[in-house]
Amino acid sequence: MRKSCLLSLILAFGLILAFNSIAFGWSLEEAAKPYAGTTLRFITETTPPSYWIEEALPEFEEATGIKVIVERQAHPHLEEKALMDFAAGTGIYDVFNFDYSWTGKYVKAGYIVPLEPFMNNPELADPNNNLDDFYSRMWEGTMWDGKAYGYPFDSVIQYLFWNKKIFDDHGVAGPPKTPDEWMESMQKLNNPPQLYGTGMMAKRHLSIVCEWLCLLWAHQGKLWDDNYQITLNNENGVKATEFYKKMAEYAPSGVTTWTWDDVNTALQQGRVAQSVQWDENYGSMEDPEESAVVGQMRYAPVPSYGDPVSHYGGSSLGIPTSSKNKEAAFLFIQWATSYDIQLRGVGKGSSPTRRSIYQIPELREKYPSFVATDAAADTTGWRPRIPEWDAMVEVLALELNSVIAGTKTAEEALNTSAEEIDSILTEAGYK
Amino acid sequence: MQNDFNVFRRLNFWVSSSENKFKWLLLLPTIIVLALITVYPVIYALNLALSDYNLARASETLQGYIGLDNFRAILRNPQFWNSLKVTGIFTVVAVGVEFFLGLAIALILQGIVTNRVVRSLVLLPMIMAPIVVGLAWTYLYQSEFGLVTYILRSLHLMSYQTAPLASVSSALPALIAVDIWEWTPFLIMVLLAGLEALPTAPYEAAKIDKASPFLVFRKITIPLLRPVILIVLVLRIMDAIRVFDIVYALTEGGPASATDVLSMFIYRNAFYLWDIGKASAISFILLYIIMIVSVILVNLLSRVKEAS
Amino acid sequence: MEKNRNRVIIASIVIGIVLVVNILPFLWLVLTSLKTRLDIFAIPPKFIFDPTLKNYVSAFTKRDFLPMFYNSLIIAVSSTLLSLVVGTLGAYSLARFKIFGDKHISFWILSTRMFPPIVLVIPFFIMATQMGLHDSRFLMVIVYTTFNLPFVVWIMRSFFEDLPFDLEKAAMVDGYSRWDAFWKVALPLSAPGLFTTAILCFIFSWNEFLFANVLTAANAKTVPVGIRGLVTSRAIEWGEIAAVGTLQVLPVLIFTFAAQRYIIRGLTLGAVKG
Repeated sequence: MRKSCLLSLILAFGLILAFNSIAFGWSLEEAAKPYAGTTLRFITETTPPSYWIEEALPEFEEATGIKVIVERQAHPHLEEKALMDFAAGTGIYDVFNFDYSWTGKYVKAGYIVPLEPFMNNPELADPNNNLDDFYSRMWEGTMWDGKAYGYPFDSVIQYLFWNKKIFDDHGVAGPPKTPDEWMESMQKLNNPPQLYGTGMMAKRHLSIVCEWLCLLWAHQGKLWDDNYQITLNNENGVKATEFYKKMAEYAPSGVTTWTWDDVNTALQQGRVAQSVQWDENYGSMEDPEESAVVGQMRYAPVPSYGDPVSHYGGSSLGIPTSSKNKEAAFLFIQWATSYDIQLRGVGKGSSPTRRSIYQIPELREKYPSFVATDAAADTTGWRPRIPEWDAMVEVLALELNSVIAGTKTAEEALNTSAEEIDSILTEAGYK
Repeated sequence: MQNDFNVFRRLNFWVSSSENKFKWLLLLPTIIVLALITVYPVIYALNLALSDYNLARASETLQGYIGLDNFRAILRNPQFWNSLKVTGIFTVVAVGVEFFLGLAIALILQGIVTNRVVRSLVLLPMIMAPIVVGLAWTYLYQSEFGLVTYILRSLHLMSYQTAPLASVSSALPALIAVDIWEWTPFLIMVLLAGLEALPTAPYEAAKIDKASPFLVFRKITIPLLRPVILIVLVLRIMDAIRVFDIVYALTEGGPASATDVLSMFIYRNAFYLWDIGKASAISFILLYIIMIVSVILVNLLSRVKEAS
Repeated sequence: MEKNRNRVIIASIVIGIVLVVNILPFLWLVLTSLKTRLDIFAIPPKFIFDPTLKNYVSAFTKRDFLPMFYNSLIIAVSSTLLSLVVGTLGAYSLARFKIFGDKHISFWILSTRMFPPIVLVIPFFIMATQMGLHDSRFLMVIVYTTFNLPFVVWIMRSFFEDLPFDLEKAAMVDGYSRWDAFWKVALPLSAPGLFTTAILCFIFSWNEFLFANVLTAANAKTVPVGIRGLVTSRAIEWGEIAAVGTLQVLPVLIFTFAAQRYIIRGLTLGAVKG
């Protein structure tokens, strides 16, 4: 009798111990228990990491019992779909992949919620998740008014992709360091229609604005000064834009309809010798099923007259205000941006946002882009993070595309842009 | 079941009691439904057009009712005038070419090609979903691997320096070509049907008078065919003015603003910039244009009908 | 006689060219749907290749097109039925009775058909969001009725006007009520017209893109929106676009063959009797 009493006591104690260890040792399985059976809808841009996450999803679904549906949209249709849902308050999407330049716009319109309540909830937040490991610039991109609205999901840094083999075969030294060297290399490598000196993302689209910003900075230009006085149409701006226009002479004919998607295909097929492109695509260059340039691609800052230039365009995962499954969405975001998932997807689409992954020597060896990204990540240039930026993108995209398409001179286009951007800034009360 | 039957009986009794009530009873559902789903939304849109309404901005920064400010801003916007011009060119050229091509082919085929299977096949382009048409042609027009681009280059009609949708000078013609591909079959079939329904007596009289074929065409065929011609032109012009799907699929208005038709311009303002107020105002201008054009054409049509 | 033979030859050549030009892009779509990624991007374009059904399989396994086809079907059929029931009554009334201001009513009904969808889509979007109807099949049925209903009224009116009124009169002399004369005499006689109208309404709804693109997201998403959604990835999924595009066109093609007798009349809103 006494023995069995003791036994049950030990058993009960053991159970409590076991229970405690689970409670204190956080685990995804345990945290997700209340949300098993939930279905999350994840709307994301069609970026490489979105493919990797979909590949890894079964793990998450098995561990949590939470089902995730991935919906991909190209820019600008991602925002088109997302905003329709948020404005309608329908609550279709639970996880939202947003660009850092949109943060303010969505926060001010009340469409996304801060993550702090979830990050501070010990039942949801993984205590081992080292947030300091995110690059500071990327973490900053998710913040607005001192609050975090997402976890950095996708390192998207624009710099020069150059094909070493093509450069070597043509006896051109790479990578080009200054804009003059760069233009010279385009000219030397250009041999249409087999090979073009460069690719360009010159569609009337966000893409042309991104690429042009790199050139503007490389020519020591700026959109506006600290007092919001427009400077984009000054001498440097005109030089940068004329340089951009000249690039089109060494680019394939279709570039006025190209975005980063088309640039990537052209790079993969070796039809262009080099191009400004987003670092997240490094993996697709090394994928033998898609790429004809495995092992040939190298990465460098955009050639510049001053400091090395790169352009940050990264995005985060956040939670829409209208979502009905916010806790489960947070668990998914935490999992999708975790060290383990980012690391295991390297080469399969993962585009890590954590410093520690870029510093793994074997990976730096295998993926030359890792060195370039690590060098650029903390200081990379970025676009204005004001809610009015999207309206300016519309203006710039049209004007710059007109320059490449040949209906306007660089000066005309920049003056019109300056005028319209000035009125947007004035109307919004910046000056 | 019993209940339904009763209702039916009552309806039956009621309608036979008064012809006047009967006709209104039949017509009212149509009028009510249409008023609810078209008139009310248009009034609602007018309200939006007179407001500062932007979904991407915080609600406290919006000014609400602002009178005609949206309209004023639009009329000052050179992009709007460009869209108007592009829409005009698109409509006139596309419908013009479709009409003459359709009429010529219909005259050639008249009385010879009667096989219904062949006729249905002719209609293929216009029964395809316009968005599928647009995407299929995007692929055909691809600058590197598109079939049409390839053919044009093989025939030395287009250089490697350019591609159909890539340059400002060729994008609108390429877009118009798609519309012509899509809609000429419609004109062929309608004009063919019209030609075959013409009375034979005037032609026999002309034969006796030994009139030249051209004179017969001008003095007999065209006047007799006029109602049919006007009908297809009304339908096609209305469709061309509001063209959207193929533009959205092929060019989204670019390069520069070479193909930025009015519907695309409105769509961009509404769903890329989320400026619902301004977009509604432009759509009202489009509505007025369509109304004016349709009133003119319909009046023309009824006058022709009365004359014949 | 010689002259006539020349005409036949010319007409045959012309119809041959028209058919080739008409069918080639569609044929190219079908061929593309059977190609692998590598063949799709081939320069010069390939006409002969090893066909594969991979694109069709992945459209339904990876892309989830089955619910979209279901949505398209439900929405198109419901809107067609709703428009037919309401519109046929209105058409009969306009065709058979003198109504005060009937010219104006007819023109007004026609004018709603002429509305540019872009004008209606904005208020519909805002109203739908306020009423919580965004992304529902019910909303899409209502929206498609905006263009189907005036269409039904116009075509069916022309079909009813073609029927000699004597038949209905005779029936009423035999003791039929006014309703019976419509229901048991006029309606069965215009069955072919009703059939054509139904098919055209179905095709319009089945093919519609703009409204669906704005007003649906996940639950009520239709096939055209899904196809456009494939223009997304690092390289556009041409193979799957072509596969779904082909499947999307097939029912329309079959219906067009079925309704060919009156299709021109339908497409000209009853004005041209082909």
